[in-house]
Amino acid sequence: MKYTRVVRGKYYDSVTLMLAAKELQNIDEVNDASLSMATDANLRILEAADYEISAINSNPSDLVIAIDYSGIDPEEAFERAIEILERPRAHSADEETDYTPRSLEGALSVFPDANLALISVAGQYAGDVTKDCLDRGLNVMLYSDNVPLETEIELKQMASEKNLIVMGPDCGTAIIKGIGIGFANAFPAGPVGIVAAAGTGLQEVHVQLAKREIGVLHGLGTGGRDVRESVGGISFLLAMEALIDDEGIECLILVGKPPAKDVLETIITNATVCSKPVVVAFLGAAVGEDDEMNKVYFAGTLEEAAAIAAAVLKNEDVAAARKSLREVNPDLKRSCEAKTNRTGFLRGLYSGGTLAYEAQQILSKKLGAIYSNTPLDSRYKLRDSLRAEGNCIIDYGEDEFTQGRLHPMMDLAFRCERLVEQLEDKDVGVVLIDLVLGYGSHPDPAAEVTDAVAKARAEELPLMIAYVCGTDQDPQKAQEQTRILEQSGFVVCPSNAQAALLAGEFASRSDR
Amino acid sequence: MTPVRALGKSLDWENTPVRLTVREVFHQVVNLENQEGLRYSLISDSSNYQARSALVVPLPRVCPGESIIIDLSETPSKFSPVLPSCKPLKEWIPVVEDWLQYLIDNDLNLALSYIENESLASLIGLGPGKTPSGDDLLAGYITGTRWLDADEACKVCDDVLPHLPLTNWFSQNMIADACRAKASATVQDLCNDLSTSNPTRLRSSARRIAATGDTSGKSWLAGFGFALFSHFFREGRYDEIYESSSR
Repeated sequence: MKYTRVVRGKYYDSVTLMLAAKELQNIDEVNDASLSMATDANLRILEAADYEISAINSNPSDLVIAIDYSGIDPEEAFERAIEILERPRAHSADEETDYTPRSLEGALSVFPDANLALISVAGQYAGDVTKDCLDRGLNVMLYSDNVPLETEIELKQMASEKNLIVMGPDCGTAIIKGIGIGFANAFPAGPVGIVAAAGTGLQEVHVQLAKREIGVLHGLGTGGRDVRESVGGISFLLAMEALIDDEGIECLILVGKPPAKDVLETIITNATVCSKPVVVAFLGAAVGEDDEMNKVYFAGTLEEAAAIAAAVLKNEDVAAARKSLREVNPDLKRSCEAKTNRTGFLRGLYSGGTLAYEAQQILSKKLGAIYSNTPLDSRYKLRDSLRAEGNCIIDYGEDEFTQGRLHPMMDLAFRCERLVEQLEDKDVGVVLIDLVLGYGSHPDPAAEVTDAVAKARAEELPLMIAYVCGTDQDPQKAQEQTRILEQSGFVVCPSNAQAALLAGEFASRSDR
Repeated sequence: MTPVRALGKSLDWENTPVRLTVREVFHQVVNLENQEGLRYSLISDSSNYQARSALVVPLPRVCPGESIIIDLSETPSKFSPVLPSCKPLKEWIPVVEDWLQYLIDNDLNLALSYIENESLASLIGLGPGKTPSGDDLLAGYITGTRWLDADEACKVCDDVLPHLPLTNWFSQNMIADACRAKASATVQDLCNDLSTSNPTRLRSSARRIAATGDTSGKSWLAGFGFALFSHFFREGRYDEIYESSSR
């Protein structure tokens, strides 16, 4: 039985809602529970899960409590949900470690040497808060999304005049002096500097470097729009300049989707004239020839960028480092062949936007049309992001899925629901997923995925391929997460690119 | 006589044997009550020094309701539970302002109107918790007022003290001690750190108080912060009170 009820004008943060939903799900008579703000996107998701929403009269500032129950008075479960929400949250260990100021003025009083502010407020207020920080001489990491483009341009121009940098908007990852900020992985600092217009792109390069025992000193995010013509790469170029000037950095890696033509030219010019080796990984951009004399190298994948940087730093052969990455690993291929006889379409369920983008780049070369909610080619835009078709990669970190609910790197519940659906779909031959580990991410995502696999009712499961983007120093420990996934039947690849390459070998071509 | 190994005591602990009843036993503190209802505490960490407390290693194994006699006549006094005489620096005004935010966080907006309308007794016993948030706020407010304006504090205490039976035993003691200008080690640290230019130390002392209980410490800081404003800032004696820093 399905029950929904609206609570008017009550706002709770996503973490509180997720924890309350999990606690409700622990009640035996509650099969499933969802607590979310009543945005259109969330109501659509509830509708797709067969909740009756047509009678719901709500607006996005209301809370919707949806309960799938059996053998319990749903009103009782609803009251329990309210009780959980109203209960004071216990202190976490993190909250106890330092004094938490409540205002910018208070923060600057007790942290007088601070030179970076992390801003996470609703997009409409982010501009004013950022200006306030820039006026006080602070660089900014702007986590907020939904910041208008014109505001972004204004902020970045203002910052540039003050020789400050605005990382973002929508910047969820940075590394400063080896310390991760936001969603970031753990590994000791090293001689690499990364400028990234792509959040999980930065994480993937960081992780791939870590696999090669190389650390990152600074990783500066810029927000995906920075390299567009309208913004002109203001932050990207400033970040490059800062890292080139940093004596602790021996090699730069530049990551992102293809920049606008003029921006790309300026970036390459700056890379060419600088004294340090630069690896350029603009996914999907025409890969140029390496400029050995000026030590500018071009990578087609994030893993390749890390491999080239490692070879350069270790004084090894760059060509050899590349070669091994461009073909499907035969051992992994054999593992896949032994798993299943099921054939059919590929369905990628991603949490990392850049990883989803990279997978599409790789898969489209092998399979042709790849449908997506964020397609490379607008002709292959999914008609409904909740309904997969053909070979398909869905980025569950897109705004349409995260308004009023947690990002899928933190809360896997929704993605796991969709995973079960794909595992049970007889047209599906291959399922491809990413698990992004590190600070900020779910503490045990592999366990959630394993539970989902156990729920799937299918005579034979499709081939399941996964990539774990993380290190063994991450709180979740990459090795342990890999082991859990392998035990539940996944073939786990050492990089996102290799996972996509492998998945492409086993999927059928699709046409709408 | 209950044998305890006391390393030190507060100056206000008697030098004669005291008969006490065990009220509460915690991991680091044992709260006791004398025949007049005063709280005494045995503590295992010197950072928990407060009025009528003794540092005891290890804490005795006692149960609530048990009657004990403790003789600390030979134990040296190591802690003076009085408010320091220093004054806060102007540079910390933004920090103090921050603490007022806890009023909103802890649903104590109502408390603000009680303070503004000088109906402070209405705060007693207000809100949930071992020490109701209103009691914490009131104790912080009285401590702040005591620290900066003894005359004003006397008026506040005259209003509040007759209403103490409206709350629990522990809160009664906390508020009464604030009226007596008694201060724990953590409160003394906070006052001292507000009067010197050391942000690291101020962060540390403010954090220790803010981390007390679920909302207790934050409510106390809200009251303490409000005292600094309501009694001085709004009376236009701002510069007189907040001494300029040389920073």
